[in-house]
Amino acid sequence: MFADIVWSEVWQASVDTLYMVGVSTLLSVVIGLPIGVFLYLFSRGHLVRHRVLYEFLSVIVNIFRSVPFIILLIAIIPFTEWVVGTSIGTNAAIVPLVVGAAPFFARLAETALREVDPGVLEAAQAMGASTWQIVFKVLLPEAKAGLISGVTITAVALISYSAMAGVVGGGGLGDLAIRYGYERFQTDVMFVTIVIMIVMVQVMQWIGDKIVASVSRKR
Amino acid sequence: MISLERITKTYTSRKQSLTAVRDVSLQIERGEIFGLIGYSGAGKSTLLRCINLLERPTQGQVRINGQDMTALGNRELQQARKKIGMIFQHFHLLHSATVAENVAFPLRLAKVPKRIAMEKVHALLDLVGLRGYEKHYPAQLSGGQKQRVAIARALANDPDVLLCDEATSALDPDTTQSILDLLLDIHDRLNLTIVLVTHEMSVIQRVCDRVAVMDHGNIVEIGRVADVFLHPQHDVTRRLLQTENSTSSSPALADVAAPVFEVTFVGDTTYAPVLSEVARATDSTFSILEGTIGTLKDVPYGKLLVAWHGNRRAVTAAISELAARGCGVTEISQDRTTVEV
Repeated sequence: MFADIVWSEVWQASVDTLYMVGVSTLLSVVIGLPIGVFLYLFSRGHLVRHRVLYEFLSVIVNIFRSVPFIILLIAIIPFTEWVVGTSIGTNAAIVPLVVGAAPFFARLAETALREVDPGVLEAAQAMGASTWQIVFKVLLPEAKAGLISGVTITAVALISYSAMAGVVGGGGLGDLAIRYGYERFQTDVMFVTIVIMIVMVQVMQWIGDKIVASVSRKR
Repeated sequence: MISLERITKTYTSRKQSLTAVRDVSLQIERGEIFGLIGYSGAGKSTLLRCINLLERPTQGQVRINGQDMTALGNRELQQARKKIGMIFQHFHLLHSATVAENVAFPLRLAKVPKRIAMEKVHALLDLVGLRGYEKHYPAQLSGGQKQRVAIARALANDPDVLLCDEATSALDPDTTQSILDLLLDIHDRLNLTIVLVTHEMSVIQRVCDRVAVMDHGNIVEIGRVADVFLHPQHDVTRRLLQTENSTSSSPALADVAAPVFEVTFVGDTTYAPVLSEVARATDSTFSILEGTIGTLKDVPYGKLLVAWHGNRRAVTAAISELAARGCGVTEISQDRTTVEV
């Protein structure tokens, strides 16, 4: 059965997937976290509460969240070209992945921040902390476990998003599965890619859980 | 020291507005332990939180050491808050930080060099009796220990004022006692001004010099603890006092065939054989119907309900003799209304 598999291609596809997922997770967190912090700050407490700004930001986040990823991938091709200079390849796939996942992570971050006891923020305020000190020295450290869970969920979701990157010639395991497994009826390739993705998801979840556990063991 | 001038705090939402504090003025002296007591919703916590502007008063001025807090800009207010410590009912410690990191937190905010901060942290943990707990996390501590950490944290920037928002309300009676002892101790050592909010009269009784009773956003009674305690003027104060001794029901005065008096004494008189000396001198006798002897902070006090037996002249003489010896005497009629003697 597995005789016709070109293992070097499988290897390359795995590396491409990990590359896309790794870079886009990182960028999604870098972009999504500030958005999540602002969503939290505008909606809660009396630090910088601002209803209108919250609604504005919230609508934008919802817009990106409501477009199915396969559509988003194609719809923002002009934007992708503008950012990376091409609309084809692994790097070109990272742009829509980030555009899709950053708002997703922003919502997860907002939820994690809401879990922080507002009383602790108030205590910091009473101690003379500025809003930014409260964000960086209280809010984010206190929400650490929830934020790391959010990163794990985002990374796992990105594995699945990245499978569609083949549409823009992005490569990766999803692309491999469609080209060989579907278009050439090579069921064995399909099988192998599925197994690899399952393993990837399991490992990521396991690592994420370990980090969360080590963070929350102290509490 | 702390001067609240005509403070009003109104919360307005789209549909309704709620006035939590109504036109309250209050002076708190340097070095004083001042209590704010009342039932929940009376506005006492809101008033306390107006002092460090966690709640910005809708109207009125807050002055601390002459400085008008309400006129300060953000940066200046943050600076001023560093000199006002605050502790809370639910401690509000950083869960993700150790005991030492929690105590060091205000020093970090103030950008104190790490080495100096750590020395300070050790000294503070010594002060609150938690030496050796530096590396513990709040989740590993009991409620009383958490409040001790919170107190150490509140003292880190050497504040002049310590605000206590129901600081003992989540603690059991023994722990409450030990936290109150700690507050008295640091008050004496550091010459702090303490403002504390509570709904428990016993807390006021143990630590406060003066007390204000709040109801529906107003201060309905204010004065030295002994005066408010022994001669409550307002209904709310009496109710708050009654719940403290709710176990015993009062005797029916209709069955007593002698005039009944409430006799109060404060200070050294408490332990002197005043009643029996007066009875002997005036050739009368007495029986105690109800009473408490205790201490207010360090001052002994007593409050007795006494039936005085004897002929009318002897009773009158006895009563004026009691008053002459420094006791407060009030005649109580059979339906328990008080009649000034």
